[in-house]
Amino acid sequence: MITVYFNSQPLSVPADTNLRDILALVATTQQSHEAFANVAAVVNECIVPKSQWPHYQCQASDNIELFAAVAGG
Amino acid sequence: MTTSLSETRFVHYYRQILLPEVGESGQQTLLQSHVLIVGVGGLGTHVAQQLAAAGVGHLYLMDNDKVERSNLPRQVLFAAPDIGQNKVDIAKRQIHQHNPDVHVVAWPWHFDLDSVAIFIQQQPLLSAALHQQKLTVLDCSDNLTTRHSVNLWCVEHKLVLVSAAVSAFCGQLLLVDLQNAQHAGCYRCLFNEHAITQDCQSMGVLGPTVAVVASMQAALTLKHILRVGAADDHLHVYDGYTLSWRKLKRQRDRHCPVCCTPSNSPISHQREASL
Ligand SMILES: [Zn+2]
Repeated sequence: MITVYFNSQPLSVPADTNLRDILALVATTQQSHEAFANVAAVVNECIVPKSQWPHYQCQASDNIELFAAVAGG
Repeated sequence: MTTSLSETRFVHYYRQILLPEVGESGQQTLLQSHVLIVGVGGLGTHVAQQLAAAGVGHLYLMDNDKVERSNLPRQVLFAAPDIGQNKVDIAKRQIHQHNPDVHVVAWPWHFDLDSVAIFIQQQPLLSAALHQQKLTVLDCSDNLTTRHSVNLWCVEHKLVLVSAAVSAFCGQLLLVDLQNAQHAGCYRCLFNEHAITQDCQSMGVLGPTVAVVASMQAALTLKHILRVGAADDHLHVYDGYTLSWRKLKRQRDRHCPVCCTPSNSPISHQREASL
């Protein structure tokens, strides 16, 4: 198991967890899966494009955050 | 190539010209530049005012809204007597009053791919700037559908897009420049078209939050026009609670249906179907 941080909260996950797994995991507890399907995911200050989520292998201490689009003007 | 500035203009823009990054030639560049502003609301009014004051020579304003009383706390170009009139007409009048150097074209239409095509057709100067890729586009709109269509249009015409958004205490800003910062991708690389969003009508917003984000958008636009520094490849995120900005590194999505189509992609390898 490794510890990653999701919105600053520690999260213990298996070592082979990818970014999509993490988002699926937190989606069940915090928000609907729908909402997470439509946000920008940021790992350690870098945006990971959605198509790369299944390919991004989480590392210990990764700091993962989600940003929803803001549309107002 | 460029003639020197008149004495009046030299004095007018003196404090900008003093900057080595601007100088007399930079000021000429600004006076000859073309900027299309999509949405003349909170962000759009501030940005238009700042760019006009800086001497950006050609401003094209697109918005079909009329001034409403609830706009007045943050849409600085409008006042109570303007309520009910076209925002773009009032904005044009105010800008012209402030800086007659600036050529302003007001187009009281909502942005979509058809309306912008008509606008271009009717404006020879705008059309020329577009075809020479000398037009910078600013997205100051208030909904995601427009944002995606502005992005699509800019990518198709290889135009630089400076996109800003604000809602409640949150602001976002990015520059899309596929010639100079291709690795950062476009707006669609970042957010897909069904993103859950909040707009200022449902969320509320403070005037100064809008002004902060708009000033950054204007600064990024001037930096781009003057070629100060490298092309920006971040998503800038403003937090109005902590009064702080964060820079998140952007990355092009190689499955992006907008900027990674065969006509836009520099990479000729076989791509998998987009998600
Ligand atoms: Zn893209």
